[in-house]
Amino acid sequence: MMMNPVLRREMRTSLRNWRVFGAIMLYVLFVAGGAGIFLYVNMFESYNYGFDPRNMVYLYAILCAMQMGLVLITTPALAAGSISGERERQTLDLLLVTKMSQFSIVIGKLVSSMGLILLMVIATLPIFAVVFYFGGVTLPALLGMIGFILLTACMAGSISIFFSCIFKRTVISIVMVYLVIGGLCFGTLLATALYYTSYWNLYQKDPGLIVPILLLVGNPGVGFFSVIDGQLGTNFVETVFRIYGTQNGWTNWVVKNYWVVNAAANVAIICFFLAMATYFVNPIKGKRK
Amino acid sequence: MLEIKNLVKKYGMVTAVNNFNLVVKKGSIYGFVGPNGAGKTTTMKIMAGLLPATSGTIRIDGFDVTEQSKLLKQKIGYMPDFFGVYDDLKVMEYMDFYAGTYYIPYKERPALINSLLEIVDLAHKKDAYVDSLSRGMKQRLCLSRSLVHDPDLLILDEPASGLDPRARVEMKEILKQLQTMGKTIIISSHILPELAEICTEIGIIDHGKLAAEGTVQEIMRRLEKNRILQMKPLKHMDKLCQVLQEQPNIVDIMESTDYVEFAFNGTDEEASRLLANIISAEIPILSFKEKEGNLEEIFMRVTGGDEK
Ligand SMILES: Nc1ncnc2c1ncn2[C@@H]1O[C@H](COP(=O)(O)OP(=O)(O)OP(=O)(O)O)[C@@H](O)[C@H]1O
Ligand SMILES: [Mg+2]
Repeated sequence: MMMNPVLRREMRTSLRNWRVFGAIMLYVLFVAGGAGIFLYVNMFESYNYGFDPRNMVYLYAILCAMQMGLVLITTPALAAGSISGERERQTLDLLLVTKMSQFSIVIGKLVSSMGLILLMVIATLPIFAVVFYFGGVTLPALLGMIGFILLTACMAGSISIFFSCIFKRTVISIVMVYLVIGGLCFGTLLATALYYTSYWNLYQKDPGLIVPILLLVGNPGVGFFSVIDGQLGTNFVETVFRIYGTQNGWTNWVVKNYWVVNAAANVAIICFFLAMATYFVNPIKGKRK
Repeated sequence: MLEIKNLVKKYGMVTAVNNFNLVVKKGSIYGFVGPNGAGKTTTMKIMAGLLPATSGTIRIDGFDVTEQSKLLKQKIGYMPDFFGVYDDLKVMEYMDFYAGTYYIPYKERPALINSLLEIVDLAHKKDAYVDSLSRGMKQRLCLSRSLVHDPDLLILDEPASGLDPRARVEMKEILKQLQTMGKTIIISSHILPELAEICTEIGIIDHGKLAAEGTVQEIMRRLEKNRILQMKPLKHMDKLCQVLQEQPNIVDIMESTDYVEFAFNGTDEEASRLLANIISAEIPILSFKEKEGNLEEIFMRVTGGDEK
């Protein structure tokens, strides 16, 4: 069994690159800083109200949310140059004439950027020790959360690689990925809100759950809160959906386990964009017959 | 080995390759010569499977390039005109990476890479960073990279461009060595004499068409028919022109301040006889040489010869 050559090379060079090391440090500093601020504020309040270890689960939620946000910001920066960067460096043709299939090239690129993300996330794990010290969250829950974050990163990564294939310049593909991810995170929220108000204006009644369920299916934020709901017993996602109507039957299940739907949507998005990337990286795609 | 039939490539309105036909025999070194924009790179990229053709077919050992891409990747070694390197890799790792892209087993790689680096004379640079190599070394490295999978057909797009005369000689030696190893080589350049030394056949390309084709001797013989000679006398310019006019095979005498140029359509022997005649007319000659033409002129002469 041979390791994907692109992955092997990327790993070799990125471990040699001090910028990668710097980025990981910066990432850890961000998360640690977030934890620090939370603890500081908490200590301050504990003078007045007494220290409540139950607050530590909120630290968990905040740390995870920061990870999620940072991962969504970092992934495009890492992955959106993967193909266009080779093109700019004039190494892409040399890669395309080899026996590596277009799919292996794309996968090698995706996995190598995911490897770096994984490294960043693992580097922050010691910070989570604080949460475990006070209890309230189990290790399997943390692992599940990390899995969800990585899946989301994978989704962002495959979109990045797709844009990297179709745009000649890395800068443009990075901008495009941020636009799409921004659209997924905030655009879909805005769209559901607009749907709600316009529906009310037209019919003066609740619009029902189906449209918002579909609109938010790829929203990483909603998926994240659904995971948090499942782990901490909160009701963020249900509360939001309740605005749109009463849930019954299958919508009830979907709303309670929205992260499952979200994860499935992520998988679908990943498959779609990887297939598109594989198609577009092929120089002789418009095969004539 | 290689057969191109009616190849056409259009970029929008621009026709880069226009009904191109070519046959390259096994074991030959075929030289593509043509001015800038003639379509050399485009043709080579299509052969390497990096560009779709608008129409036409390319067959290598009977297989259609567009339909059997897996097989062709094994058969073709391609070196582009412009290429980059990964800056964080050492020469050995660089080669190892490309060996990987051809799925050569790990344990076979060190020996293979060493022997390839030996061929291109880079064995002593094994542990240097690729980025630190000189232009000529990078070019040789890229050539050895295109050999990792032991391809039968090498497509080299201006492998000697940007090299100093010495490096060009080295490159030629390497190519000759590859030929003795049984490789078929297609090489492009816009300098004809450079190709003439190593190629077995030459095709002159212009405006996406094969304008002339043949063995080096054939092409050279055609060039001989109509070349521009330059003669620089010490003095007696007027007398020189007068004598020249009486000589055979001469057309179009152009007089400059200190030299004369004329078109000459005789053989080498006739040219030397011409010089003897002038010297015996007691005109002191400082230099007598063929005017170094750019490709455009050579090309004009070659096609001009065709029309006669
Ligand atoms: N990507 C492209 N888009 C549009 N036109 C192109 C493209 N690439 C090449 N051409 C055109 O195709 C023609 C042939 O170009 P090509 O690069 O094949 O020439 P060449 O013989 O390799 O020249 P050179 O000696 O400069 O390398 C030129 O007229 C060029 O302008
Ligand atoms: Mg060219």
